[in-house]
Amino acid sequence: MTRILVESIISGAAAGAIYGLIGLGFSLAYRTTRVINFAQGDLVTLGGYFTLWFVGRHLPLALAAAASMVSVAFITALMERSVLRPLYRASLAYPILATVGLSIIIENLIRVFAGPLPLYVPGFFSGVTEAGGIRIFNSNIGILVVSMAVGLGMVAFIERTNIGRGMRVVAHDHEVAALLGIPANRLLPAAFAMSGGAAALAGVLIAPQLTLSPSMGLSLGINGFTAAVLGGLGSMPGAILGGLFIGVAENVAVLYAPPGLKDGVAYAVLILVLLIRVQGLFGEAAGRGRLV
Amino acid sequence: MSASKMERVTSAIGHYRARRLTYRPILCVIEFIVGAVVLRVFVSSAAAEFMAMLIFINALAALGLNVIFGMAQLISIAQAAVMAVSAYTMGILIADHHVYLPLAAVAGVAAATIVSAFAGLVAERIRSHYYILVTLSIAGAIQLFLINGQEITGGANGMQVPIQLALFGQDLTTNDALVIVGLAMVLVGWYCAASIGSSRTGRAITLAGANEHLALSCGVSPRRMWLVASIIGGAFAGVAGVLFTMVVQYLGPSDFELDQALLLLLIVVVGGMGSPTGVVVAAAVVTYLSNGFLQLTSVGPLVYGAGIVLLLIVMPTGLAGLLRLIARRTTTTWSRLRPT
Repeated sequence: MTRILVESIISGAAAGAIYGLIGLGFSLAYRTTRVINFAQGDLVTLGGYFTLWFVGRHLPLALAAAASMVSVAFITALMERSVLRPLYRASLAYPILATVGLSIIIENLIRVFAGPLPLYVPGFFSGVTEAGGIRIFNSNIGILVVSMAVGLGMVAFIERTNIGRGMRVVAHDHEVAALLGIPANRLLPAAFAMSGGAAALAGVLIAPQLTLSPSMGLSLGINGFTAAVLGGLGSMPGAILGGLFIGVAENVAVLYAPPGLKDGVAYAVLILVLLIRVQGLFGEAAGRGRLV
Repeated sequence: MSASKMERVTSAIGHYRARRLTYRPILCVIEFIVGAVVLRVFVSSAAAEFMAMLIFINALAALGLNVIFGMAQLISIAQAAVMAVSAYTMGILIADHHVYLPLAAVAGVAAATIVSAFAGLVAERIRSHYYILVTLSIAGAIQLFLINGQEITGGANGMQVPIQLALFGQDLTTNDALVIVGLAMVLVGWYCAASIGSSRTGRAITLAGANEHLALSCGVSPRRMWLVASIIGGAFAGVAGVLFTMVVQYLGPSDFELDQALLLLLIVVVGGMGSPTGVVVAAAVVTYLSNGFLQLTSVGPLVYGAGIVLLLIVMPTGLAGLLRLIARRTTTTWSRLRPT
């Protein structure tokens, strides 16, 4: 029993690392603009499909993944620039609803161009490692390492670089940022591009595990979203830790509860966080949480 | 003259309200007669009747969402799930326990109101833009229960609900009769929504949505108003669920998914956020478009998504705003033409 438990904790951590990447994107977009991006899940799907398309153009898998991340990042920045920016002045409901519209557009564009059927995607990692009687899929280790590296890299970028500092100021107060001469109009698309890139990477990593389908974004988006809320909406390291927690909780819950309730873990965590500790693990009570 | 009456006459807003109240019931009766005649004459095929009833269901649910989203500015994506609570409560009571239909309907509406009040209670403790998170998790939990609670809800296959109702010896379950019943329910709903909108509570809700600090300084507790809005909105969704059960007579989880909740949000935006009349008109237009010709081709949903984005950017005040603009233009033109 312990063996199964350890195995499911490891595969849960791999899934959780991906939720963490999605949640990190949510947090970044939310902190800088206060917009809850409902299209985040579909950007994940888009990342998977772009990789498949680039692989079909005879690019090596690693290069295809990188190209896909860049494309999705560009599309996300374009989304912010063209659709969301005119809506910030109105009530907050407008940009959020616009992301819902964008999510529908992306999902159906994929359906039109790639067809509704699920597609198989090649993975980076194969094989199984056995240690002390515990069997671990190499893909799980790979996912964990890659997404942790990229996630923590992004956190460091926000923490250390001038662009990151600028984003943090914009997140804290738009007016102060303007007074300091920080170009918010250029940093907001940059923040969205980073969030799109993280989503695309999540798509690249999770596609081989799930097979790719146009409507897979929603449940991934909700898990990522819950990860972000659990970590304290707006805190990037919080999102990564929140993702890990949810991934492990989901996979362990399956051992003890009917499999249909796996998706319920995210909802249960979400409502518990809202009831008990709204600021999440790392957010601040007033909601003016730190970006890092 | 008493103080309250004085107020009504002297304040501009109060005067407006008094005038509204006098003609609204008459308007309602006229609309019912005209609507019934139009339905009888023009809506004859089964498909058209079904479309009309779908419009009525969406209009009722959207009128409730209008209080939550249009007035209190809380984004709710649980309205469809709250409808499901009412529909399933009623369906289970009728199908499994053979409860008399009106009683089951009341129980359904009560259950929906309680669930929506729960969302309001959670939201009362936190900031308003977390409402979307609260409703997301409630909707998700309800959807999961509908699918996994096999023994109670019939799971993904859904459940059949035998409907029997007669009034004065007239069978009310035929399509012809249900259309008229639906019309009456929508008009009563519209009357209630419009009355709530112009009542003291309605104004307080709108104020709480528009500016939390201003509301506090006026002695209105915004959090209390979020709760009140959730309760009122939930009751409307409950009534919509009851009509849904009576019309469709079959309940499945797929009818109450996120798509339906988003459709309702869209109706409120198109209707102009806070205008009951606009919402009813928008319900007709949006339901017809999304269920009618957009379903015909594969690019339909694409047009739908693009439509949402374009609508928000180009016409943020919705149909009501457009109508108001046209009205203002025509009255100014008219006053220019009139000899002074």
